[in-house]
Amino acid sequence: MNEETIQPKNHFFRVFARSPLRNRLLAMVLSVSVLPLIIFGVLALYSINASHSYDIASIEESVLLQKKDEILRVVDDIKGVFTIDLNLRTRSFIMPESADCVSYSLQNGKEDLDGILFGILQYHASIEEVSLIDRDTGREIALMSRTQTGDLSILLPDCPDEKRGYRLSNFKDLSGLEKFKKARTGTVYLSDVYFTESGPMMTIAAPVFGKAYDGGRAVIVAVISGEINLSLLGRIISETHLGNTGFVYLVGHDGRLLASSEKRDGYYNLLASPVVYDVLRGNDRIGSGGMGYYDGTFKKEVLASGVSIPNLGWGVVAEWPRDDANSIVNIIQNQNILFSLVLVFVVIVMSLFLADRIIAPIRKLQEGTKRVAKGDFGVNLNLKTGDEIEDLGAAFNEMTKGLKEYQQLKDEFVFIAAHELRAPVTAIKGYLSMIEEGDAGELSPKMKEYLTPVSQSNKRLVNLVNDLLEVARQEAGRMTIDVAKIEPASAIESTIEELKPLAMEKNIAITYDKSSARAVLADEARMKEVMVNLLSNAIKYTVGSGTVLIWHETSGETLITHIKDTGIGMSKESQEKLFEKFYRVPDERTKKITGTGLGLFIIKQIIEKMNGLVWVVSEVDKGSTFSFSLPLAK
Amino acid sequence: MKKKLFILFGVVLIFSGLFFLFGSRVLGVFFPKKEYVLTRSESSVHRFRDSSTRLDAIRVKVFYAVPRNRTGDIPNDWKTPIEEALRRAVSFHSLQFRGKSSLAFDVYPKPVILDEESHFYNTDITARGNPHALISVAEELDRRVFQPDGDLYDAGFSAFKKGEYPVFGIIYEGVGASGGIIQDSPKQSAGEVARELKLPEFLIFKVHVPSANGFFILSRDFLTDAEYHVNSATLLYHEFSHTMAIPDGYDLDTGASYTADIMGDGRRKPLLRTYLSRDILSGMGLVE
Repeated sequence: MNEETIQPKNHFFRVFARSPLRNRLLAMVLSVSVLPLIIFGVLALYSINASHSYDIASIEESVLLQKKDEILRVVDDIKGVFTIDLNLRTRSFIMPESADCVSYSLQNGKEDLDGILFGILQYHASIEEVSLIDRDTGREIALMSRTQTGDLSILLPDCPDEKRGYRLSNFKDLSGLEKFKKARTGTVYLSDVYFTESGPMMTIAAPVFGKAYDGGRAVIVAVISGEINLSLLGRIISETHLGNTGFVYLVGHDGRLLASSEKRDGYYNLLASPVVYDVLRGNDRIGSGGMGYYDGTFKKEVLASGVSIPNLGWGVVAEWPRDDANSIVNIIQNQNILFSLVLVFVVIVMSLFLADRIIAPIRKLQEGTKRVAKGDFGVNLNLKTGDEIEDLGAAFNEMTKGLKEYQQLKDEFVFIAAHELRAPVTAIKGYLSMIEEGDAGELSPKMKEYLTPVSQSNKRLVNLVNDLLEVARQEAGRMTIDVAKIEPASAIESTIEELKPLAMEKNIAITYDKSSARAVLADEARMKEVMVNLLSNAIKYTVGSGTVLIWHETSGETLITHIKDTGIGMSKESQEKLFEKFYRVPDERTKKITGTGLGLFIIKQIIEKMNGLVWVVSEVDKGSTFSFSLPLAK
Repeated sequence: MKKKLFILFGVVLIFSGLFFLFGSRVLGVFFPKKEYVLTRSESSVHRFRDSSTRLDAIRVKVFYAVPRNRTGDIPNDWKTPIEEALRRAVSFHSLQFRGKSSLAFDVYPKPVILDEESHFYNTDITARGNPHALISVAEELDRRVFQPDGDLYDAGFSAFKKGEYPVFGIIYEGVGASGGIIQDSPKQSAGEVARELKLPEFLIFKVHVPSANGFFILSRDFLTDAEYHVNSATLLYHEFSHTMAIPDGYDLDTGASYTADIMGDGRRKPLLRTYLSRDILSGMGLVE
């Protein structure tokens, strides 16, 4: 009953609560196996991810740098075409003839200019149009463009040759254009990218230097301007792919999409993307430190890198959808996780098994020790573990063997000593009784005063010797119990009658409810001995007046008899030791009460011999209830 | 206490399991932190420097207008070059405005023979693209085609859909290349409107053409003569641009260009190779 209240009700917890050592072993094994496994797993996953992340960044970086080089090469190539140093001493391609008329200053006139423009136009397919602008007037003095069909056509200003040369006002005035103004100062002009139906285009304008010098510097003869179709750059970009769905795109300085490796319907401005934003400000986003992760314009969740293209202010950006980029690492991760889970499960099962294997012999030792503590020295443990625990079991068996021999010697000694003491103390008791009764002559008051304690002490000694003999008999197995069908009420009533004077002396009322009494199988004399002991204890340990209540209760095949008092009660610790030999409750109030500490031990042995149980429920200062069960007679 | 320890142990085990199960998600932290994508506010396309007039959809009602003394000059296949130039203009418009403004056109099925002879529409002043002809012809077209009592009234043709920006495109059998927006406010003069919108005054027309918000005129010669074959569509779109209040990018007196796009030097290039400058586009609400 007590065990039920101590143990947790949940089965799971009860299993673990039974063996703290097993729990510790389990925790230890798990901590030295599962914990490193988890740490290893985390590190492995981290390493895989970090390494994979690094790989993605490296792939993107290498692709981007390659594309950047290719684009720069094309642009530099085109820029190089427009960097013209003419071996001419002239300071201008045109010279005035009259008020509004000019003529070409080159040897073959306009044909030489045509030759220059034709050469440039033929040099690179991306050059759609090329023109020469006079450095002084800003007039377009020669123009050549590629037709829509790809043939070359020459468009020259319609200038009638009225006198000699061409009418200057018939040439287009481009002096207000930015490209002319900048190139006229000696620097190469590159325009914003603009979008036409032929593709993205940009304007390039550069000064044309002659052989004449002005203050040590070559003189600018004219400005050469060209319209560059950037579709070729689109082809450079379009040949690039990352994995299955990764792509690369070229973005203009304003964030507009110039070219993409994937066909894009519609027009986009990508300035909102973090990597685009950074590269257009000249900050490369490459390597594992620079790679960005965001929701892309074209695809969700991309791992992106980007490089800026200096001078042009453009950027090349690679965006690799995360799902695609991580597809391989996800498979590895899942395999790793699955393997680790199986491993963790196996380790837990093995740990439980191992812990139980270790605990089983220790549990046997524990149970054996408990039996020894209860005085059963016949325990013999059979532990076959092949280790120190088996040695411990053997040592334990040796110990119990020694204890058994010692107990036998002790029992024999106690029995002999008690037996030998019984005769003299009984004789002393008889003679003292005779003296007190005056058989040896009349006693003076002084003598009576001295004899009274001697007689009481002798009485206690007789009780002690009797108890010791009883105990010795029990332990030697010599106690005789004659079980028969008896009515417990008669034994109890005669006991009450016997102890009534003692109860009345302390003004204690004894009430016996025999309504539930039923015949039991017991030794009547022994039962009376039990009742005398329990009832006298109830009276003795009630300070001042009180009540003692006796009643019966049937439980299954047993009759339980309860003796409840209103005495001083006892603590839980005392209740646990109460039925041990020589145990007396440590209480200041019971010091004057005489007793050997063997009474409850003896009645426990008696009741157990009659196939019953005895127990107590008590509370300090509120009283105790002693109960014992006996089998019902059929 | 023991119970708490068991619970703690169980929780640790459960979390370990969960970590292994969903570790890959958790380990997302090993990748670069997800970056914030900027939000870009793109306003809709509107008339140049006038955000109150939206240009999400523009419809041009196109007429081949012939003075009654010039009917003999009508080519047999007058419609084809007009439609071809308009189709190219539509494609160009879509590209330049990133599809945020649509351009559609309806060509009146027959040449409109005007009530008067050439000299009435041209007067003596045909400089700057013959704006007088533009005004006279537009007023006549509005009266005859768009008013229910007009002799050429066609309810189906004259209708504009809700939200469309109405424009008249006049292909003129005579001299002409100009365009602008129609301002019918009685309170302001053309000059005042021009100053308010910071536009050249020649772009603002204070005329009674209630059916359109903008109009342009272009000589039929520009679309059919071989001399203009390269840039005929360019010229058409250039004049159409004025109906969106886009000013010229060149000096009207000297012809000197100060922009390279279709409004300036680009007006003389094939439409395939010209463009609208970013300044123009941003002035029309195309935020980039």
